[in-house]
Amino acid sequence: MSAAIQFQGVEKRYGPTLALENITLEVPKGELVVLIGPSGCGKSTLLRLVNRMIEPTGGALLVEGKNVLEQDAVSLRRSIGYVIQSIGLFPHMTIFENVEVVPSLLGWEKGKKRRGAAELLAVVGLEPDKFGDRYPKQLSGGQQQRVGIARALAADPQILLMDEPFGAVDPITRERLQAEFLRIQSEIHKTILFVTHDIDEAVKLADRICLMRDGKVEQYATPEELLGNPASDFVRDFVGADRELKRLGRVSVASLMGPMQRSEFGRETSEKAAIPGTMSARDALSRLLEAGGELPVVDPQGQIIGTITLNDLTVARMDERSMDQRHKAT
Amino acid sequence: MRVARALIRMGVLWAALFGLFAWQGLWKTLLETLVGRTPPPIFERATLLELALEHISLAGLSMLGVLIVGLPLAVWVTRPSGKPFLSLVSSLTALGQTFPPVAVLFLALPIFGFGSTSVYLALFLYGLLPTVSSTLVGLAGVNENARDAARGMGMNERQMLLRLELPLALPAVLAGLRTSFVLLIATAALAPLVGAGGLGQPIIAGLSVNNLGYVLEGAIAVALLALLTDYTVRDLERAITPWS
Repeated sequence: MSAAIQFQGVEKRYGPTLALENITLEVPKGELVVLIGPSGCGKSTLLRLVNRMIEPTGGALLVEGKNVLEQDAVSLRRSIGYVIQSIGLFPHMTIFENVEVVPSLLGWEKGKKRRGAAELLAVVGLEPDKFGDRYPKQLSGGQQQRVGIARALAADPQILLMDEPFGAVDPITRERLQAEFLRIQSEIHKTILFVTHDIDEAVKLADRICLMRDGKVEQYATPEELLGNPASDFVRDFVGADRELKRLGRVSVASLMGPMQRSEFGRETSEKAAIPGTMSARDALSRLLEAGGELPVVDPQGQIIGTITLNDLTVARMDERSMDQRHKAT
Repeated sequence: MRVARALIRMGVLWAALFGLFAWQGLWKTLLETLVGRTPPPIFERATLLELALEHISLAGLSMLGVLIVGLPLAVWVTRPSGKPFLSLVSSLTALGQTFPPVAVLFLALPIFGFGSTSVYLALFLYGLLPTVSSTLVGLAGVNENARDAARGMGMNERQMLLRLELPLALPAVLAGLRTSFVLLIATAALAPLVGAGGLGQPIIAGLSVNNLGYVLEGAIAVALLALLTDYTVRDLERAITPWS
């Protein structure tokens, strides 16, 4: 898979301080890479280098194979979606007008702009007829966040930069937005660079996580690898003592369950006890702790397809299952 | 639509005010009941409508000067090229207002002589501050996140100014403009001191010949003009900033 964004020994210096030190990183096309780390680690700076909001003082940064410094900053930015924490919707423009900002800058024709905006609002779960003519002030924080995402997608960029896009909303809304965002990404397959300081969010969304500290990359790996095989004590501490639980959160029960027990044949399963195969192993663990030793696993039609035991959820068993047939939990 | 309705509403109100100014008989009755028949309480050298039109042109043209100079000045000192002059411009406009307009009128006399030119200069200097400082405040108050988002989406400097900063600064700009304009309408009453016309004429004449009727006639008319101007700009402000 080719790289959409390549950092080659990138360095950013502010006077005597090094904000970023020799960053070498490749973001594969169509993947969601999360930049995470304690505040001041340089994650936002790294993000803002990509659309030249900040310019590197050393090394090279290639977007779609071309050095950003050799491109016109304004047209580069128009070709890359941009979402920031506080959303930055324009208060004097209606929702439609906000979504149409980049298409307007690109000089799209009016009907095309409006059709695209309406379509995108529907994608992010806002009825265009109901919300399109409102002003940002009239929307809730979560709704504004959705508009922010629709706006970033408006000119169909191949790359999206998102700086804590779900940082400013309440936890329940955040979880819903995350789930919907994953659904959207599974349809549009953009290359996404996503900054957060929330390790749970990172584990939930990321194809790869880049954990940073003091302007350097501590570990760049898949969430499973990062959680299962931390490269340093810092990484281990950062992901938390419950890292194995987090890891369980990324796999589905169906990928860990054992074969059906003989005793299950023909047995009536009370719907309550059965676990759907798509449930995350983490949630299944909670159910197992409640119910005891083992529980039947069912498919969406309610047919028993296996059994899950506490033993299936141990680290050894997880490592046994090959990671390439990774089933993402919902 | 909203703006059109506001314009129609204001047109009607202004027509009514001019109608009132033109109704010489009403003013005569009013002033006679207030201060008596002798001496004749209504100014006779010019009709109230003529005086009011003169007054509006004095204040209006000075205001136009304020806008033509003040707005670009305020925008320029907030751009990178003009930033070094920001504090200079703020202090100078503040100085323009601390200087009493009467003093400016008489200082301008030796240069421009008697007549409207001195008035325009004094009013222009006096009206500059509220407009410039409010515009500066409005531009500085544009949300930093909105600015960051705009830049990140690929707006160039000119687009940022026209599509984001000026529209968002508009409420502040209009508030400053309103203050300036009302101030100028009130201050323009000093114009007859250097031989220019306007609603100050009956006031000043009334003071010198001790005719309370004259003074009242001019003062009421100035107050009505100032009030309606204030209301007009407020209404327009609401009509063109539906988001706030």
